[in-house]
Amino acid sequence: MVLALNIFLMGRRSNKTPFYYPVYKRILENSFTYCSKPEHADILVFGTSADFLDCSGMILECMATNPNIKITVVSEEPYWDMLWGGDFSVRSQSMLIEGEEIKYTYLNHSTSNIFSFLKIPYFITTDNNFFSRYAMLFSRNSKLNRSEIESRWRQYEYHYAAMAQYRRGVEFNSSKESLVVFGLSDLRTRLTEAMIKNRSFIMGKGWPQSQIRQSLVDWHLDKLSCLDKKSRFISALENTHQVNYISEKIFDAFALLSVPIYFASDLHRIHELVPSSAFFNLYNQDLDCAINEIKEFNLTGEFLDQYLDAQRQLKGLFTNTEHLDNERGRVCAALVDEFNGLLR
Amino acid sequence: MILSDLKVWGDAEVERLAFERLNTINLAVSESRAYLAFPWTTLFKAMESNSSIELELTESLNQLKQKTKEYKNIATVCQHLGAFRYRRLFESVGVTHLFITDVSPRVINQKFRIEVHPFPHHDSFSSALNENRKNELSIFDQAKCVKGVVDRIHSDFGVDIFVPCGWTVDMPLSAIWSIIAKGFIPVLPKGQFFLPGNPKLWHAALYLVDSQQFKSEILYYSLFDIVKDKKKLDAKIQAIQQLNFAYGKELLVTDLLTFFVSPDDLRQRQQILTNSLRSLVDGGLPDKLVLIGFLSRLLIDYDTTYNETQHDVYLRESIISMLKKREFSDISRDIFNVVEPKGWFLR
Repeated sequence: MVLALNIFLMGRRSNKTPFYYPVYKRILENSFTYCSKPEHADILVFGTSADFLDCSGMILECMATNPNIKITVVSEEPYWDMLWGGDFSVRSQSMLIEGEEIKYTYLNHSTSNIFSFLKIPYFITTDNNFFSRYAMLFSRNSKLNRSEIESRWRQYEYHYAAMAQYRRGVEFNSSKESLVVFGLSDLRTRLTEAMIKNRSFIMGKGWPQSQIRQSLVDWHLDKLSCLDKKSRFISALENTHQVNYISEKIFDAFALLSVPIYFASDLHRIHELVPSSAFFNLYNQDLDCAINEIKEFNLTGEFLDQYLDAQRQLKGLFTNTEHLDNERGRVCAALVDEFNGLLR
Repeated sequence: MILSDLKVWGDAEVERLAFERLNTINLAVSESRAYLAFPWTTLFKAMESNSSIELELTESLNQLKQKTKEYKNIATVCQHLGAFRYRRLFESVGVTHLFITDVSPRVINQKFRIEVHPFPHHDSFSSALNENRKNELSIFDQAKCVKGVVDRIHSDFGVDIFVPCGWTVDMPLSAIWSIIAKGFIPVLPKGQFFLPGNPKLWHAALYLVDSQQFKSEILYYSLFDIVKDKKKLDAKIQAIQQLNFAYGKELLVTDLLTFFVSPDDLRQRQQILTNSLRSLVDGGLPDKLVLIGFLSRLLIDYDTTYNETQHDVYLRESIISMLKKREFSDISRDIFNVVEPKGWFLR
């Protein structure tokens, strides 16, 4: 008889795993039992190994009670992998805690297929609001023609907008070339610093007179309501470049009828979703030259055609619920596969 | 899928607007879910006044009923203040999710076959009076006080940002949408209404008065506390701005769209398939097969699978056949990464 797998979410960042999001939990409950006590679990699930130390007592207790217990990190954040993941291309890892060796399986963008999306990137599938808001906004935008977009664009209040935390330093700039993973936080902060005096709208922790966005009731709605049809460019730079990692940022920028500033190597999968010329790509560009280009940027007919194509493609993506269902089904299937493998 | 057979909208303005917005999006949805576009308000008004249009609308509804049978979940929007009184009628045409503009805690707290959700009034309907509240609330004195306090704040500090609503027929709840649209902060009696979307956002935006413990001085100083603290006032205005965006003309139906992206269908399909595949596993096949329960939803026609759930051989053969035919090009990468290398089906 095949039974549901017993799991326990441990550590404060386990709220950034597919197991935590209500839309995924609803489906995953078919195959996983969410234990209320860690000692009843077969597998402890963390969002990052950085939480091990905070939970060391509990981990050791569980290992003493159940020597066969498995520990896994399901990391949806390449940024955390870069900061705390060590060699995050390795699935089987270990850490010494209070003299005990803790072995764990590291599931992330590089070591598993969980986040290798079919059509809709994983993060967008974690909350229904992304899909429904994009359905509305891309439907609206795709009805516009070139001249309508151009005339609005010229009247926008801001030339540049960014909503991201201030992060400067080499630790935010590191890279793993072999995995095509690059830290972008330092780059996007430098870009915003350079653009701050150019009719800009800047929000995010660390910037003057800014609030912590995660403390907002609905940070995504706040962003949409603040910037809809207001800024010519919006920084959509991720905190980390990873070919399968695409957050809401670039979709937001398109939805708000702005030109996204992005960083995508040729291997990056954003090129499968929108035309590569429909956004401003910083990849392989000298930052100072790019800043000048952004400041002087003019809409051309060719660019507008690509931009409108992007709006139509995104409308197609976000007005078919089958894409969302398939993606969620795929993520759940991958998790079941991975977790069955852990116990085998 | 939108089901409609519309000849007349009449007074059903919210129903019409919801239909138009959904129509604009042209959402491709799961086969089990549909939206029923119908001028409920016009029908109910006709029924209440014995108007001749009742017959025409009833006939139209009967025709739609034939179509609604094909769906497991049907949503509809109704702006009629007494919508919930007609729940049996909604049930009889297969409605499972009812989005109405006037939801009281009394309705939400009861268990019915239909799920009731709040839906926004569009601001152009703000002049509609909420007759139902007239007798329900009986708080005319409090309403006067609230208005007095708001006027005092205006006169003492020159701040004209608060607007009472939801207290009496003179201050109807439906006005909340136009108050928000103008950037004002509505002052409402606490616990009397259910509003659409995130309750925390509403809480951040509105000022809610506990009418059970009502004291005008307390209310005065509470509003004063907001007015004198720029951060608090800005936070309220920011939340109002978000509500205005979420329920303005452009997004209006986003809450309704979440009905179509519910994970419940996927959960149900996976349950059926997982269970039937588990029975295959119990029959001696490798336990790895359980994962096919998740993948096979992508491979197999849902209705056929549902009907044939009990027939393990059929199910197994279907999976084998689908895998062999490769009728799933866009998902084949994932399927074959997991299944084919093991050679379970293709040997």
